[in-house]
Amino acid sequence: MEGKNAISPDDLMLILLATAMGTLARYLTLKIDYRQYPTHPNGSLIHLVIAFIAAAIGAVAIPAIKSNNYTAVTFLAIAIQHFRDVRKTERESLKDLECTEFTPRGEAYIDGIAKTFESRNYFSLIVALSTAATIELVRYLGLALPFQTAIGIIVGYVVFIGIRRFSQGKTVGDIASVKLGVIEVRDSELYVDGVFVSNTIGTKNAQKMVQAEGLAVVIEPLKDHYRVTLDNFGQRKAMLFEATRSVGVKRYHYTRKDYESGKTIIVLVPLLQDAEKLINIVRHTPLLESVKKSHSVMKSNILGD
Amino acid sequence: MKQNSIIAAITLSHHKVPHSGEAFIIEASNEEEQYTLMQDIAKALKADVVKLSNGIFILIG
Repeated sequence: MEGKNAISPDDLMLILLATAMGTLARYLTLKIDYRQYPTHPNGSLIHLVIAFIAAAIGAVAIPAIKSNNYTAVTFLAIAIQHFRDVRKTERESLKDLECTEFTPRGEAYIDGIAKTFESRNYFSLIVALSTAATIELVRYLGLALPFQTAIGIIVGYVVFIGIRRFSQGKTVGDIASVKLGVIEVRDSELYVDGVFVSNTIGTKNAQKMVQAEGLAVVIEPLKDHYRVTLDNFGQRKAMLFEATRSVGVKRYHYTRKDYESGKTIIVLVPLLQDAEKLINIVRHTPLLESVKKSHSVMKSNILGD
Repeated sequence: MKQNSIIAAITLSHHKVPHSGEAFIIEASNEEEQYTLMQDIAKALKADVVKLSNGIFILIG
């Protein structure tokens, strides 16, 4: 590649830097995803490679427009189609794993995770695009290469922080108090804090096991209208999934709604007797996008606290 | 994944269950045997057990 068709060193630097910024953006959010979808290292590698391609598409868009190659921008449309396929693939993959988990994630949780994975690719694309656009703009203003690089990185980082805060969802702990409940077995009936949970512990072994080893978590909404979100079947499945995955399940797991008080109760006989871990994980269960019905829950925190 | 269907019912001679649907019914001769049978099946099928107020054990899986 020689002559006027060869890529200039400046453009090459722009593309490389913007691509690196976009890929880094995905890498930084991958740590958050780790809890939701812990396939490591191959799952992480797949997402990093897809992010690299997304970032590269965002990075080359500016030099392409600059060289009057407007059709190159159509790559962005192809990328979006590709990212939708990522969502579809994630959904199918998680659905296939449903029967291998302690309890199923549920359709709503899977949908939320798949959407998150799709949106994270846009992180890479947008960060790379904004970094490239900034470098080009600073170059147009006549500033030297170190300034172009520094300002490009700063703007890319600010954009990353902004969209990360925008897309960051709330958790159960934001709208409800989570505390341990007192388990009580009356014959073959199980109660937590006096609320009936189940009567499927007909054997003495089961009754003894639940009484001695069971852990119960009571989730109480901070405001009455948050019940709409917490009582949602998908949300409860998500909480139960996170609870069972964090401490394991030896035997028995239940969720129950108490319509009078608005409490949601989770009971299980865990493999690990770690009540604090259980409370923490339930508190940090994401509020699913599909069940957010309250405006105060939907608000994004772009500028931070 | 849980289907929550009744797998079996363990009854005593004085219990009358006219139709069992897909679930099978075992009639035990006394309460001790009823409990043992219930445990045997529950262990084998990893089923949850409900004891009805009239003494019948129902296995749910």
